Amino acid sequence: MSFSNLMRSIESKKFTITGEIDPPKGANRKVVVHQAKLLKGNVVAANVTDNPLGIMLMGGLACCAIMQNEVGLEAVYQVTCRDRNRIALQSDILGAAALGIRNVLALTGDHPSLGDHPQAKPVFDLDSVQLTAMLRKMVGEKTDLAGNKLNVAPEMHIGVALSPGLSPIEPEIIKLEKKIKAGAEFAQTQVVYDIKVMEKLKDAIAHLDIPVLVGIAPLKSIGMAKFMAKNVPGVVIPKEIMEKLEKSKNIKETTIEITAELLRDIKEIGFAGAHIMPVGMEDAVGEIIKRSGVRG
Amino acid sequence: MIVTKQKPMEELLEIIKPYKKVAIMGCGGCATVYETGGRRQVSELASKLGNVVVSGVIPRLCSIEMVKTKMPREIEGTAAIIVLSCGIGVQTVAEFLSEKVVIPGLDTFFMGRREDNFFVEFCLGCGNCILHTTGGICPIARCPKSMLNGPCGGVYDGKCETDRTRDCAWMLIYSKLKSQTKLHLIRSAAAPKDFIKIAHTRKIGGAK
Repeated sequence: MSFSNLMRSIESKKFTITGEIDPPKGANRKVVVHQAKLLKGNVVAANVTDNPLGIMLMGGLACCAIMQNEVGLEAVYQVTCRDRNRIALQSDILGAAALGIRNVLALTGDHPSLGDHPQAKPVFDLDSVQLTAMLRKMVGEKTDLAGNKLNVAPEMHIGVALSPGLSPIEPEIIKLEKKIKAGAEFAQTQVVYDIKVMEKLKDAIAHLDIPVLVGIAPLKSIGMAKFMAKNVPGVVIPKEIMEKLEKSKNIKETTIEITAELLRDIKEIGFAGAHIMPVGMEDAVGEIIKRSGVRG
Repeated sequence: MIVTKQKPMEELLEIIKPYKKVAIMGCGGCATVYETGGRRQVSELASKLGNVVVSGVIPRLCSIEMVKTKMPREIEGTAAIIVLSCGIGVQTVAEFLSEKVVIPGLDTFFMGRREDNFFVEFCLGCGNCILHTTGGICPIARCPKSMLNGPCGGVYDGKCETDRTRDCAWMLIYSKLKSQTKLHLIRSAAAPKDFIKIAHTRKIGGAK
């Protein structure tokens, strides 16, 4: 049984594309509405990040509700273990379900030392595998983690993250196996620019039954490309892509082309779909998808 | 060992300002081994301060019996005692000499050991040791997120996202268990930690 458009799309075996919005630094809900409007119609659902890199932003739950209620774009509520213990996590999940959120992505979360409040006490009461199992218990067994009955259980699909760039990849696959066993229904990956990494990932998960949406993010500048390669773990940007960007007279156009090609690669290799993190290029997402022809 | 460091001299001088005469007590345990509160550090501090009327080292300041039997009588003549030990020693002395002001001369960090020019944390005292399942490498103490089910997404070339000079504990665990053909040990999901055993303030039975 599917509770969400995202899951219905995955189950229909259509190439499924999700997007992502960045909550604002401040209480400006227009930022959420603006990004969501640009993505609506292009993606089946959009993730809302949970204070990524430990940088304090508007809470994801509020953003998900704004996005769904005011724009009508389905949310994937990203939940990390960095700032909330098992009590707060479950409590927020119940609230999210009551607000109509039907997809959740279970993450461990970045360490606060990377963010803008490095002095904060890290929580990490649970890790992503344990969070997945807890969510499954709430949805499936209709109880909380302690076994107490929930009067109405949340109806949500549980997604998990996957880091294709970890080398060797085996420990990541072992962890994915545990997540699947714990109840994960779909996976979204960290950004990938290298088709070899995609192919390696496809082989590594061949024995597993889980739809994977491969992460991509348009490189809006050469600076961003260099930053990603240096600072995002496991991200490799192939020489050809760097050369294309360096030679480009119109970076936006080139990036749309590169990202469209990556989308085609993801579909050809046989993944269930793609997860586009537009990081400021929300207005280009429609064109990227159109040009890739993956919906054709 | 319990890892300690001497407080900055300016901070210590500020704390002892109100006291004309002070005593210094060092500890013969961890603080002696790691040269923060042994005989030499006690006498060095005494000569820097100049108003120290009595000083010494007690074999284990974390033992209430040793503090009771080995504390020098001359301590009576001072209002304040600087203790060069971990927080356990400081509190034990404070309890025994309840009318005196006890000043920590050291900052206490963690349970760990020396590695080259660093002290590294190795145990968080979580009350439920799992080292037999993780190749003798503790993910609770040596992973900043205390992950129990494998590495997080923040591994850069085998190093940790929070400190790229430190090996990811989970990559070490993986390599070790792989080389021992014991990867099955980490294939089933580890349940959430029981923080009843970890939460402050802890007290356990069984002391003899």
